[in-house]
Amino acid sequence: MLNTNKIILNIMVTINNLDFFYKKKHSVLKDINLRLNGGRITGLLGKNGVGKSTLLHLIAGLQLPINGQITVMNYKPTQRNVSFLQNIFLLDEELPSLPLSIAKFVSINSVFYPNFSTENFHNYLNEFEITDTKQRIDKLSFGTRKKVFISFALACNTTLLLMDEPTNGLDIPSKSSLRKLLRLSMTDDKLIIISTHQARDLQNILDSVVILDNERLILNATDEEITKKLCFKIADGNENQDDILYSEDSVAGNQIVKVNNDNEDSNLDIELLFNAVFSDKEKFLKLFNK
Amino acid sequence: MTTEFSIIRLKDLIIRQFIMNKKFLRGFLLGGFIGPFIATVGTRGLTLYSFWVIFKFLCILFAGIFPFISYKNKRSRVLEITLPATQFEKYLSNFLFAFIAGPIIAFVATYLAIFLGCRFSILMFHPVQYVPFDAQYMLSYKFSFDAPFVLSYLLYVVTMFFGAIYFKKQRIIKTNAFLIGYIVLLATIYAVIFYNGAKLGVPALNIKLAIYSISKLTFCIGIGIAIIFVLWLTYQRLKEERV
Repeated sequence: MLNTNKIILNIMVTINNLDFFYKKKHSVLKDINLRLNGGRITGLLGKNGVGKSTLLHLIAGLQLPINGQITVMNYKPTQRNVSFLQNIFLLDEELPSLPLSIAKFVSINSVFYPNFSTENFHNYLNEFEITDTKQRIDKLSFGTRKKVFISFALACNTTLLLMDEPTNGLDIPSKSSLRKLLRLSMTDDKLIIISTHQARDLQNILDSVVILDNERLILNATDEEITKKLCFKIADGNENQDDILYSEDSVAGNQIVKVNNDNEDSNLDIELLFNAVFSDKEKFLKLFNK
Repeated sequence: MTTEFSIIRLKDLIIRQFIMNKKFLRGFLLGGFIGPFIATVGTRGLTLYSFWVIFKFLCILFAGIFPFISYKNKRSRVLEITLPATQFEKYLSNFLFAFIAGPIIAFVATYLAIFLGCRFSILMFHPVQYVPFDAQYMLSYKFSFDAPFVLSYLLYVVTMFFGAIYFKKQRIIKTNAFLIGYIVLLATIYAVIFYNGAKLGVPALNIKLAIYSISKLTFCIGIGIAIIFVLWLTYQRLKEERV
């Protein structure tokens, strides 16, 4: 009973029969049903233009669904209640180029977020090796601007953090810093949804994966569920060929994704999973909807 | 809306608005100064009447340019919409910005321009029609409060305010184009009434009388309702703002 309650309370995003389009003839999302729990970093994966950003915008209340309902932490996002807005932050792919210093930007915006931590903000900036907060945001490079906004987004300490392509424009050390910060700032009562088409950037930090394809959802599963059903490994020649769902050559050998009939332990390889899903979508739909 | 309203948040929003638009405000203040200054020097001193015309013009420009400026492009719109404040607070901060801060800035710019312009003229050209433009002179102006004219002017300003949220690019041009279209429509209706009246044998004078017999009060009430409607429409538009 206690567990059930906990599970119900932990559901942070509920999407029922969601339809969305910009132009009537070109549907973006169709009959999407999705439940996302707290305490996880969820990767929203998909090819370009499948509606990942649109889905994030819908969750944040920046777009209105054509049909269906979205509930986020018991709020309807489109109502834009203050308590809802205080608990979400959307880091969009494109960032504003504001004619003011980092320090000024933080001082005028942080007052709206009750859980904002200035100390954490400076720690995050330090992690990204940004020390001068007097720099003007519009004079910063895209990558540095991104680091500033990532630091701000994390320091807001919101229950729901939506990040659209956060690794775009970041150099390799910064991508690693981002992964570290995401892990550090994660708690059981939070949900972080990261949309990306660069699956490898988020390797080892995702707790669950949602894969979108044209208009529909192909996969919504946790790390454990995926590795329970699938095994990611380098082929050793002893595998049953019927179990292999996907294979690709790499420097390390022939990487495969196979049905985990032998209950083998393996680590989730996001990029391999992504490629495997798109090599035979129907097989994955069947496997995960059993 | 009312239960969530916070005066502290409103204050923070207004401060934020000023800081975010500091660069543009400086430009407006400078432009609002240079234009009237040159005009004053060029004409060897402007009159108080010209002062009010320039002031009113700057207020229109301000209401058309500055409110909802962060909603203009998608990148900053995301930040604005998701900013934790009620839509009413966001609306009110923009309203106060357009209708309180705007006129103050316009007044300061115009006054300084004309005052200094007059002083400069005296030093340089020893003009014949020197206007002192001091406090005594400012107070000597006799306002003739023509309610229909003032309300029509206000309707125009609030329409510019509406255009600022409705149109994302070239807001002033598009709002004015919309207004011109509306006026043309009204003129067409007026012409059709005359034409049909003439066909039915109604003397044009009678139709004119029917239109001009609308009392001043009725006209003012009509314009007043239109102002409230446009302000309400602006609020609705803000509430439904998307990326």
